[in-house]
Amino acid sequence: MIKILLIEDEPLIQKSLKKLLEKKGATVFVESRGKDAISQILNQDFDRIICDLMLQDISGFDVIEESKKRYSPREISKLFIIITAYSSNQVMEKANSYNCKLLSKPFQNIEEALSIFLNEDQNGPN
Amino acid sequence: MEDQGSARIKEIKKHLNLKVDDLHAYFLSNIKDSKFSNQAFDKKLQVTLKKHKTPDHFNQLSFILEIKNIIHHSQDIESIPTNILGLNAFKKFETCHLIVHEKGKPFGTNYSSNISRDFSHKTIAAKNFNALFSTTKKSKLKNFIQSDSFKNDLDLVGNFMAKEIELKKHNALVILSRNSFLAPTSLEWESFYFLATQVAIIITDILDKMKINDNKELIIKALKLFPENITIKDHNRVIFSNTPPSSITNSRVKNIYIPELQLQLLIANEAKENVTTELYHAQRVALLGELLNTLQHELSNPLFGLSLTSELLLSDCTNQEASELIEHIKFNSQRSQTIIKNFSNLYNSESNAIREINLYQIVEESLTLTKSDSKEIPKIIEPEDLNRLKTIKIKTNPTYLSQIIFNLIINASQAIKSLGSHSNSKGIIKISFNENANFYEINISDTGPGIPSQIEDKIFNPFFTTKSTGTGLGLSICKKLAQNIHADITFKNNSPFPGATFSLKLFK
Repeated sequence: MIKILLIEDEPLIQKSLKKLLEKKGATVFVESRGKDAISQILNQDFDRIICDLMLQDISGFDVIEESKKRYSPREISKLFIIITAYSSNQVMEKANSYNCKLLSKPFQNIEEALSIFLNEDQNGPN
Repeated sequence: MEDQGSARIKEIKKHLNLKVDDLHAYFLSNIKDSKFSNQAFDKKLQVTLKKHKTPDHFNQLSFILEIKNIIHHSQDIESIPTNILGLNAFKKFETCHLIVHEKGKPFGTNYSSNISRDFSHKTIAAKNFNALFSTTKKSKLKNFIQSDSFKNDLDLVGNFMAKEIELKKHNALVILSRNSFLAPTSLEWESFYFLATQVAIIITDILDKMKINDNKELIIKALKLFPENITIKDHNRVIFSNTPPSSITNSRVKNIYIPELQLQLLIANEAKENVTTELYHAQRVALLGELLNTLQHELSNPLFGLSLTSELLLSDCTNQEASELIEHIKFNSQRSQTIIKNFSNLYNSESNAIREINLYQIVEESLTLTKSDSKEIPKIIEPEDLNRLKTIKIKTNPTYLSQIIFNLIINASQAIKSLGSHSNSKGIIKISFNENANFYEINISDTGPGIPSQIEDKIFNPFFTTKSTGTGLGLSICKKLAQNIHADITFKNNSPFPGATFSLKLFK
């Protein structure tokens, strides 16, 4: 069973995504604060980390930077999926530098988004 | 009237305070010629001569005089490379580059001259400049051979001498080559080094002067465009005015003393036809764009949460009535998201260009935007007009067009509201559509009081208003925007029926 960490501070999105993913059979842990998420990432194993960029305390990029303590850039590019409502060029550029998948909120197609989140044997970025 | 006047004065003061330093520099330089004097140059020359060990032949007056007379008289940076090639000490050299880069800018300027004294200037990417600059800076010999890496930026072959110049806000490079593989002699190198110190002095002066000129132009432009008559006096001498003195009548002049500048500011509070509204308009659009952008960012997340949650609830819900309600929530949160996105695109300066748009969509978006101001007033579009509108696509600036329609609808609803409860019939705004071979026409009719004949020729004038809280800018902005998109606004009273109709003609 795929084990997912969802880092998202908008309660409605967090709760709904958790439920939707659980319905598909995933085990979902949630965090609203970036700092809490970091300690989870450093101490637990996840198959996938879905990370919002604008968190209350720090940014999603900070979370990814901290995760480098444990994961190689290549592992990070497969582990993390960034979700963001602020897809400005600078943000896109920075996100691309991690080679992670990036999904803009609102998702155009929720089913498609869920299957991207759950895709266990994804071969890194496209 | 008093309040409005003092608010404008506050605005002008704020406007000026932003640039107090620059303004001061400008007015000071008006009194004192900003070009450095001969004496100042002599002094600087003496200092550098003392600071740097000078090779023997520099003690010859001729070389110093040459530099003083030729390099010192360079009025602009562009002429310096040609002037350097004109020096006797470098008469065997064929190509000279002077590359100047303002720190932090994406491009620098590469000024060059060759043996036939053809001078030119090109832009150079900051990346290339920095590479060349740091190579030069690190090198002890300052002597290089042209290689592929500089091929696009340097118009020379073989050996060249380069020296970096570091200034406060700029970096520069002087490059000199005789287009051969002969290495320069030590004397040539020493002369070159001394030359670089002199060039540093000259370009500092020229760049300072350019900076002051740029700021001057900016300030003068802002003051000229200021939608009031402004005169600035130093004691009793007029040093700036955006209006001929004869057109200011003393009775209407506000006289303020600005202690920071020790200057007097006279503002004539007069609504003139030539007063420009563009400044106000630009401010308003920029502010609105910023606001909508923030709103989009702040609302899009929670709205997405709503639609995601309703989606989830829908898949679990078995109660028919509840499902319908949730469906409604989902639909409306998505609609809200689309609306805010469309508006922020509309006022986004990046998308502020000519685009092909659907006329109906613009009318519809403008109507949505006016909803809160005209809530109780029904707006009617005849079904056949509506259907026709939906099929029409035109190429225009959607921001401008939407703003015109927006303003006209707001005006119509304010006209209706101005009748208050005295009116017997309920007000209505009617939007109709016409077209012929030359133009499309959008008409916006109200059932308000109409336009009295004595003000008919004034209503498009800036600052003309009949409303107690109006700025008098709405219609003048509309007129201006219409001109910008090659459209025309006209109006007529609906007599014998109540109200007025404004027509926007969009030429095909």
